[in-house]
Order: sequence, then structure tokens, then C-alpha cells
Amino acid sequence: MPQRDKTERLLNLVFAMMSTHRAISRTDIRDNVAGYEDATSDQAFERMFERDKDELRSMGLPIETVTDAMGETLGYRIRPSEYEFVDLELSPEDIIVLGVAAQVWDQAVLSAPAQTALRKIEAIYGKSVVKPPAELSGLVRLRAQDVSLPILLRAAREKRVVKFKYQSRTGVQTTRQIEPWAVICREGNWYCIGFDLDRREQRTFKLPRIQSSVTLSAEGHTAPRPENPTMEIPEPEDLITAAITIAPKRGAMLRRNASVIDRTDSGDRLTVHGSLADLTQWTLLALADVVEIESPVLTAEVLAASERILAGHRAERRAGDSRG
Amino acid sequence: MNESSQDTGLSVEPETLVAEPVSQRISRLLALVPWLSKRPGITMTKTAEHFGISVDTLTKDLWQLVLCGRPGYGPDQLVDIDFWDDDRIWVQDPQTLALPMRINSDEAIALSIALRRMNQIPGVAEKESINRLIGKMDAVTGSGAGVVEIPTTDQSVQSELIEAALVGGLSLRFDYSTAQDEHSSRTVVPIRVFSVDDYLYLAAWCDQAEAVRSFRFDRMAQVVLAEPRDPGSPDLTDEVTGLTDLALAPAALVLIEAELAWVIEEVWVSRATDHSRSLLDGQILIQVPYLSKDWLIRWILSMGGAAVVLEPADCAEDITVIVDRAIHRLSDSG
Repeated sequence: MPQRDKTERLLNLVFAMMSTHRAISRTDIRDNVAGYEDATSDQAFERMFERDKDELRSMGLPIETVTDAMGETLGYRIRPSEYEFVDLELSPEDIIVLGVAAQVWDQAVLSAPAQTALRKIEAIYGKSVVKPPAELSGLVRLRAQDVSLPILLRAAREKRVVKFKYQSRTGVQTTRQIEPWAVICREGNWYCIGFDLDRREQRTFKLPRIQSSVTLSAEGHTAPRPENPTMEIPEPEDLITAAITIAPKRGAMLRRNASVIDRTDSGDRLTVHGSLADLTQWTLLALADVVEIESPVLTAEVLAASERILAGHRAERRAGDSRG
Repeated sequence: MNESSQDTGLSVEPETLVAEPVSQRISRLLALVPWLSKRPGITMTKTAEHFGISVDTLTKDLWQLVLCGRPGYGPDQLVDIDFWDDDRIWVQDPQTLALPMRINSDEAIALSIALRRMNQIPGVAEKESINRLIGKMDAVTGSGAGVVEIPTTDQSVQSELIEAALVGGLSLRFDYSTAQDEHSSRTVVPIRVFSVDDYLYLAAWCDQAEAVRSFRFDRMAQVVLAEPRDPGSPDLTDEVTGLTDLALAPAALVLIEAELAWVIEEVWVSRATDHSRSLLDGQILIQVPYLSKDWLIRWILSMGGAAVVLEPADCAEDITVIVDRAIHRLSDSG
């Protein structure tokens, strides 16, 4: 029964780390903690211990790595002051609401800590046997999958510096050193706002573009954090106004941004203000239904894009034909 | 919010036949000792009930615990629990486990972010409890969850009107634009509000669709309150689970240029891996799930030539026809 052996070994490791005064070394663990005598070699022990340590940490156990002045690892411990519970005075209703909150992350990146928290709380205050009100179930879903999210949150909370490889929108990769201030969700994407130590100014990073693991350094923040950090929104440099005539009920994006809508015989004439890039994209979305564009610059953009689309698809068809 | 009479029943966790994960068992064992220490002489039955396990599982847990302890493993170093007589449990020596494990900052912040988002949804009755819990989670993290923001911008008008309609049992009228870039006028009877990431949605009975539909707040315009209406069957609430499942949708094969590499970050797009096609430098082959061909065509068009659809082939055909006609039309205008 390997499962029983593992449970026993892990529990013994917890007791050993909690009862040590300064730290328990790896040698000590291998020689004295019941369960590790099965390790047949140094390597087998190292693998077993690393896995056990990770597993206990993922259960929320505050395992501390104790180092000497030179940074050499002396051993490990769990401090009672870090471990022991502080009463949160939760009511049965609170447990139900927390149960719903723990579901919010569903399959997302903070699902594990949310579930661990709930399990600890339920062990103390009792498991709720009442289902949450229907209106609360599925109320909120957060879908972030970025593994960098929990580390960036911790760095922001503890005001520490992080380092990671970052790929720009155009595909250029650089190593960045950031003092993270906040993490923001916008249009389904997660961003980190912080002070870029190399560029010496505020920058925003899109989490899926972080290409490496995020290393948390011991160094603290140096730049002052704004009270409410917000993403800098670039000013569109090329704002235009154009009249676009479109079939009735079509072109939702253009309509949503239209200041005037005139009904005409050939369709609805929309007056739209925005950046040339946005207007081009909104017009392309409704390309099948656009009757007329009264703006030379927008017409030129839309026609150029149309030619590119046509060329791309025709080339592809020819290639497909020749491949047979 | 709707009343739902079916959801107040008791639910008891069934004992599973599959072996439980070690992590779950360890967490329970660590919690068991302090809990029992505080309740000398409590019965096996009550304890099992509290932890949602069978008496059989509890007995195995207790046997496991008394085998563990501090290095040395003599009588003074082992956990000592009496559970031999009648149905009662007495902890004689909990070793280091006198108090339960606290929830740590990483855990508290995960709950805190979720609670904050729940608090932002209009029409939720439990706001008082949610607020209190946010305070408690922030006390654990120390600095609070001020490091996270999920803003819902410029939708306050919609929020107020929708909340008013939900509370007053009124219907709503608004103009709606879909992801397919279609525009329509809707009359709906609101059922509930829900959110996915930073988007807010209204689930409602829609007169035009004659079905329950979800409407994204930021795609509504000209929202007005209308006449009171019967909210309809109360079990409608259960039908609304969130978004359409894209995992079941067919996927188009699309070739993109390097400048569009950012679309791979979208959760619903994936790289096409098992395709033998040779690519030019910078080109990427992706799979794009689509619910309607109409949407797929519009999406490809909006990329302005940097995306070419390979499959389904008839979409590529439709695109060339649409673009060809548009070029003729627009070359005469402007």
C-alpha cells in the first residue's frame, strides 16, 4: 500500500519540521524521519524529498528554507507562528459564500489555493451541507491560465522585484526587471502594471507574453507606487470622421460608435469618429454590407486591405490546386 | 433575483470508491488532531459528520495518526489518541498539532479576488456577507487585495437599469450588437446577471429569440425600462450556465502572418500542430473554433489580409466573392 506509506512519511516530515528549533537538515531528515529509510540512493532520497516538500507546500504548509549568511541551505522548518490558525469567526452563511468564491476560479490558475483555503476552513468550521443559493452559483467566473499570475500578485503584495523574459507584440524577446504594482483584468486578458527598472518608467505587461518563469528577487521596490495604478491608454494619433452608408441592421461596431444615423434610400448613413485603424477594422467586419464610404483616406485603407485579403486567399487556392 | 424553490435541499457528499488524493487526506489529518483536541470525548459519528467522511474512513485516519510523530518515535514522540472504548475519542498528546493550520496569504488572496468580483455584480443579495468576508481575507493577507483590479468601465447606466428591472420585475428594451456584428432591437425579461472575467452578462428571456439568451453589457445600447412582466418559469435560472462551449465547436484552419502572432494568446485560439504543411518564415498555422461561418468570415476580414482561411474551403470561396464585390462597389464611391 504505497499510499499509506506516503501519507505516513509526509506527516512525519511535517512533525519533524514543526518540532525543530532552528532547522532540520536534509541529512537529518534522511537519517531520522520515518519513511525515508526506503530511499535506496542519494538520488532517490533527493527526488523523494523534493517531491514531498513541493506537495506539502501546495497543500498550504509554510515550509521555510533556512539559509546561512552565505546563502547556503541549512535546512527546513515550519514555524508555529506561521502555521497556527487565527480564528476568522465565520458563520455557516459565510462558509456557503466562501464555497461559491472558491468555485470562481474553476479550472483557472488560482483554483488550487482557493480550494486549499476552503478545505482548511471547512475542517475547522464544518463542511456546509446546504447548497448555495441558485443565484450565486455560476455568478462569477475568472478564467486566467497564466502561471505568472500568483507570483506577480505576491510580488505586488510584498513589494518585491521580479525578473522574466517578455515577448513584445511584434515578437521581440527581452529580459525585464519590474517592480509590480497591480494586476488588472481587461477584456478577458490579464496585465501587470509596474515600474520597469531598465526603462525607468511605468510599463504594462500582458501576462500571456511572459515567456519564462518569473523569478522573485529579495530586493524591494524603489519607485513610488501610484495610489491607483492604471494602464496607460495610448492616444490614437490619427483620428478621423467618416460617413459610411450600410445596409439596415448591419455593421454593429460602426453603429455603436456612430454619432449620427440618417436613414437614406441606399441604407443607413452613419457618421463615425475614431482612429483610422479602428474605423478600417469596423468597416471590414461589415464589408459585405457596406454600400458607400465618404472619406478618401478610409476608402483607400479599406480597399488596400481588401486587395490583400483577396490576394492571400487566391494565392492559397492556387497553391492548394497545384498540390492537388 | 428569481426565487428558486428547488435548491434548498440538503446534499451530502457521497463516499467515493476511488482512492482519495494524498493531499486531501493529509489536509484532513492535520485538521483532525486540533479539532478533536478541542472536543475531548466527542463521538466518532459526530466527528465523521463534521469532516464529511464515513466512520470507517475516520477509524483508518485515527490509526494512521497514532503511527506518526516526531523523530525518535518513542511513546513520548508519537501522536496519542484513545479511540478504543465505546464511540468516543480522546486526544492524549497532539504533538505539534494543537492548533489547526491557518490559511495563508496566497490562499486568502485567491478568495479575496473572487469575493471582490462577486461584490461588483448588480442584484446580488449576499453583499453584506461578501463585504464582511473581504475584510476578513484582507486581514489575512495584511496588505489587502488592492493589487488586483477587475474594472467594469462605463456600464453603470446599464447596471442601474438592469438592477432596477430585476428588483421591480420589469422588462427591458435595448439595441444589441452581437459578436457577428449584427444589430437588433430586443425586448427581454431579465433573469439574472453573471460575469466571466471582466465582462458582465444579462441572462434574460428574449422575445425576439423566444428563448433564454445572454447579453453582454457593453454590447447593449439605448437601454430603457419597460412594462412589468411575469418572469416566467423559475427554473430558467438553472439553464443559464455561462458561455457557449467553444470546445464543441468546429475549428477552422487559418494561416496568419507573424504580425498577428498575438492572436495565439487568445484562450480560444490554438496552434495547429498536426498539420504537415510547410510554412514560410513567420507564418503560423492556427485553429480557430467558430460557432457560425458568418462570424468566421467577418473575423478573417477584420484582420485586413494578415489571416487566410484554409479550411473550411467554402469560407475562403465566400470571402473572395464578398471582397471582390466590395472592391467594385467601393472603387466607385469615396
